[in-house]
Amino acid sequence: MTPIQFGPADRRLFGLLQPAQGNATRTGVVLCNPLGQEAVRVHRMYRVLADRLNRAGLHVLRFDWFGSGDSAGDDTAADMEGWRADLLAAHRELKARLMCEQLTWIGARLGATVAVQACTAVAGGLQRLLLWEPVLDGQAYLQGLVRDHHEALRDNYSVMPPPWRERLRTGDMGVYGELLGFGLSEPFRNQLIALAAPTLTPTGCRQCVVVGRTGDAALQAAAQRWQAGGQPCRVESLDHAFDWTSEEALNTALVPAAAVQLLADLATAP
Amino acid sequence: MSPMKETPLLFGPGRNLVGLWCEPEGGTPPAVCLLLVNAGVVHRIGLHRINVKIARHMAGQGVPSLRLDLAGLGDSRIVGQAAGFREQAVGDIQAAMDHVERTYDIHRFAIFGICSGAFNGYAAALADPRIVGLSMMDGHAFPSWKTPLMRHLQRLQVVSVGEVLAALRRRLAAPFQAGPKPPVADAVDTGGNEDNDPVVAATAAQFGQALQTLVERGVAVHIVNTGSRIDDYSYAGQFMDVFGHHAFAAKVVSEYVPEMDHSVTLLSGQRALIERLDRWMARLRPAARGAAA
Repeated sequence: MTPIQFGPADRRLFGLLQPAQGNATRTGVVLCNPLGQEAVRVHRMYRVLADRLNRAGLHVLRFDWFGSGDSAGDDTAADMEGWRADLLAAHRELKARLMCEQLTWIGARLGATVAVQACTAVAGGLQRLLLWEPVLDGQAYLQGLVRDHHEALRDNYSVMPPPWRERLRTGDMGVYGELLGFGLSEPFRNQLIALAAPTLTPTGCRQCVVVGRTGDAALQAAAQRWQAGGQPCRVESLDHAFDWTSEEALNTALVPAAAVQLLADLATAP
Repeated sequence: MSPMKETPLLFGPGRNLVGLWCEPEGGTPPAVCLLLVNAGVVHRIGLHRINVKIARHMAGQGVPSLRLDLAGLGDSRIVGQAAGFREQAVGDIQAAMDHVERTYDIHRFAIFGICSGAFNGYAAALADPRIVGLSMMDGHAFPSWKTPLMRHLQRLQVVSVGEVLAALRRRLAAPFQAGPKPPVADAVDTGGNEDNDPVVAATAAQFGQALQTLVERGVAVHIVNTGSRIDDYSYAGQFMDVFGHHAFAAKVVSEYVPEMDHSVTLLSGQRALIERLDRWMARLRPAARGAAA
């Protein structure tokens, strides 16, 4: 494993390059983080998944979006357009450094959504696009994060600071420039609100698999629409108790073993 | 903010430890390096990216830092024979200092940690004289007789009768609502068995003795307690009420910050923490520079 920096000088990104072990293939996998606290939660799982893919002969690049993790930029520097460019930069980096001939992207939550948007710009297309619970309704996603933010404040504070005490008392669902410990700019918030299934259509991937909870009608509908539009796509069910935004991983698995297993199987399938 | 530069590092005896070196560009040679360690199982960026935010702020103040993953946490791997967690953590922190000394010619260190990070910083500071500053957030806390009283007073100031009743109802109902805990795969033991860990289980007398040792050695000690631990620490003067009869107490900077929480969830709390660390580091920098000269 080699920690690296890549991307333009004014947009340096941090990544962890993990070359394949043993009989390496010419296949690389880019792992796309979700947003904010979800990315913190998924970090360990991505490391375990990357190790497993390495052992199966795949090269892996994990990286932090601009304005997140160890990459440059404040929290509020994050935006969807920039993140699409980041993913394409990560794609080029992995391809160039480890001579990969074909690449798979694996994304979770908002990372999956960015991958859907960005894959259309990949010359020659992707081998696989694996999407774990992609965000297809930005408004609902944001509202969920606000609820989780309120829950975290209730859990963490014995005596809530005054403005938040009032907001929680009145059920105010405003974002106020922050969510679950991370700054969120107004433009990025608006970009999230604008995310809607009909505007999201992956193209050019030899295979697209959407991984979601059993009975998730929105994911099923999106996958059917993508398939009908010419993008080969299917849905895999994965039910889990993994809490995407938990502060301290209380009561939920740090590494949801079933998710690692399924994503690794999908990425390494012949 | 002044220009700064970040460099990813692999270091340690087996090049198994991952860290990010963050340094100011230009200016005078730094006198002290700040080490930022894991809180719980969160990787080196810290709770809500607080270590990154602290590192970049400090670089703007001329202070370089290394934020690192201890072996078994984040992206750092355990190599060789596994030591006890605390022994391993202290060894990893010493490996980080060795690397900074060799590579950047800086020989004095301050360390900041939250929760388990505070315990690791405390253990490392006791073990290694290169550490001249120790900042611990929500580490050890020793209640005084006033602690429960002040806790109730604070709660009563902000809680309505309806909220008290609702909380009571939740508390009474909780034992009947809790479901079984799902299994945790690949979980990381962050602190060993706390009951048997002499660092975590230190009594007030043992903690006081340790602080006495550190202060006598010239270590600048900074203690921050947040609003999340009101059961154990509930008012600004608590540290002095418990330890004020010791000579070292007046030299320890102890702050109670109820507007901050244990996970620095609110941005206002993150700013409050950085401001406090900045003030504390400002005291440390001239002393460290003088001592290093």
